[in-house]
Amino acid sequence: MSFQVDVYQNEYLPAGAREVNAIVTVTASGVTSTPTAAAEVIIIDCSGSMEYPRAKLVAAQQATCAAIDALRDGVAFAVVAGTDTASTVYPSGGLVAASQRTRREAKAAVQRLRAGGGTAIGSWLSLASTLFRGHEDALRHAILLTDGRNEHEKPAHLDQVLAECEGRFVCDCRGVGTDWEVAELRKVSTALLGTVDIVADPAGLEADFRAMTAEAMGKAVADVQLRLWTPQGAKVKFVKQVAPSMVDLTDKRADTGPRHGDYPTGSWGSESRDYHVCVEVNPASIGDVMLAGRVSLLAGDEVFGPGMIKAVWTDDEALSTRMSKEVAHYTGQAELAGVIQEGMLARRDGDLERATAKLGRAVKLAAESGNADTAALLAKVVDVVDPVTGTVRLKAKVAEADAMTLDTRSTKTSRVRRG
Amino acid sequence: MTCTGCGSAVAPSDNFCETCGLGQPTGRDHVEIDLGVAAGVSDRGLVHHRNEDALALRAADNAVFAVVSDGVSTADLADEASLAAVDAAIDVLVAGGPTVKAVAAANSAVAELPIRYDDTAPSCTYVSAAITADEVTIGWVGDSRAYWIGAEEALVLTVDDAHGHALTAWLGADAGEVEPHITTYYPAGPGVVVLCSDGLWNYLGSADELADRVRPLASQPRTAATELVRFAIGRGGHDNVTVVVAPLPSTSTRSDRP
Repeated sequence: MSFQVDVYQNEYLPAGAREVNAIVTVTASGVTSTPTAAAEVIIIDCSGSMEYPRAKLVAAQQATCAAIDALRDGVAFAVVAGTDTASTVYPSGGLVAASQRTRREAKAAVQRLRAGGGTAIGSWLSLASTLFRGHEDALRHAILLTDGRNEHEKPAHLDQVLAECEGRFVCDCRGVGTDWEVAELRKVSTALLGTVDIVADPAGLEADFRAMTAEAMGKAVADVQLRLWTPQGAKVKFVKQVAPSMVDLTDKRADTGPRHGDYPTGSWGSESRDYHVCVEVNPASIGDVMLAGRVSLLAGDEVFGPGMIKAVWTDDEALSTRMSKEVAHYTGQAELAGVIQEGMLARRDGDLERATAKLGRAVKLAAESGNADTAALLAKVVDVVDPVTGTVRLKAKVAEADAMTLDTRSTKTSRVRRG
Repeated sequence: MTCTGCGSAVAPSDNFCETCGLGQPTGRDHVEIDLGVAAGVSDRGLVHHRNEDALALRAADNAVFAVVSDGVSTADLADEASLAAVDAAIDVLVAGGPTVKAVAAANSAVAELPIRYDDTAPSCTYVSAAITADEVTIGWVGDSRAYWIGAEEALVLTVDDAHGHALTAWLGADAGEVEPHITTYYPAGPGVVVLCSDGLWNYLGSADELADRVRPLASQPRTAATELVRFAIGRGGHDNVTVVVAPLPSTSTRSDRP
């Protein structure tokens, strides 16, 4: 498997300017047919509320069985039931290799699950982390399903567990129904480099779990790091994944040597992701060229790239005022995610004026950038009067599922169009 | 190698300082090609941060082939555009291909460069000369020029594709249908072919002024090219400057004869 690193930027800066922006596209290809060792933990919320309606638990059981069926032979796996504590449903200890027999036994155990008790997501993740022990060389992936808020442990406990679990495994999170907290689950998925999504109708769980597991089985390399070198005196303003979704990696940096640090990117299959790197450098003279950043990908012992982020100071305004379409696009997508989250928060807090302004701005940005998916979600929360100016009216009645879907998927970005 | 800015080590792989990041002078900042029978010099000048001019010069079968290109700096990847153009064109010319094919090859090579910004496809000018014992075939697109400096006469062989300083024709993906100008000049006597980018001719009042500077050095192409570049830099070096000087008949052909 290899990684290609491409940099898109306008390297020209006016005299004295410090901020250098670039979009770094990383494309992974050449996945070999020999599958990489993998470990999978499926965490199912079995709190009392999963019985109301009962269809939720039934759908979760079916979805878990579908995920188990989607596991490759030999993948080490376990199923965890989460309440105010966590317990393994199958096997009785550690992980077991997927086979016809273990899949059958696991599904039988899942069918016997009953709901009862509270929700303590931190303890669920803690158990998953313990189960992955000894599988550090494998691709480690978890699926977490919940239907409620993390009510039965202190928020500080969850934060502490997340800090411990960071880098230990990747976790995709799903909220079923509409009684869970978007921000809470997003915190988990962001910390553990996974996705977060809503499955408002329990009937959708099975297909979603099957797709998620297939996606996890398609990964070939775990623990890939993005290494950023910057010159002496430079300051990294931010490093964000900007496609396929917005994930701020800035605070996840681990300094790994003089003038360089590593940002975790999780597991990769054949796929492409975009990153926005923003570096502040000490300006040089007009006519000087500076390397503002060198971006490499580290997978195991192999190093790919580097992509070169440059700065050239010029007194030619035609050059320095040019905007890289990639940087412009993703700057817009980042703002879009931000104004949706702010707008939905204001709406919930009853600040309708602020909500209208923020969501109006979101409609305008979504239309400008061709983010049709987000535009469609916005249209379920606001009546769009004019997408060009961002003139909107808040809908009087909005289904909770639609509001939560918009919030949850606010971080989904559209890919920049390349001519 | 140490950094010209801070004195620290320079990364050999990419020519940037490992500590302060400053870019080090590249091989293109000053280029000299001396075939003996003809010579070319290209220089960054004093103002631009890099040399976006390119030149190629080769001799084959008693003929001399020269290509000069000037990357359009308001477009993107100007340095890569000019280099791609001269490299593609010289191969066609040396293989005996006609000038029209050399221009087409240069245009294709430039058009293949990535387009990173809207409306700024990499682009460049083009001028080439195929010089045999008794004729000079010039092809051009844009405002890089060819001159003939004879014993008595001094002529501009090209007509700029430009309104003022705005190009009206160029090579590149956004150039549309490229129709190069091609002209063949049959000198009546010995003289010198000069190809140059606007970095030189912007400082020249007329072909006669060029003639005054070239004639005394007509038998020393390298010295002539170097002096012309030095002249442009002395006048401010506001642009990249590239000059090819090719005497005809070539000095070595003359010395080869008994």
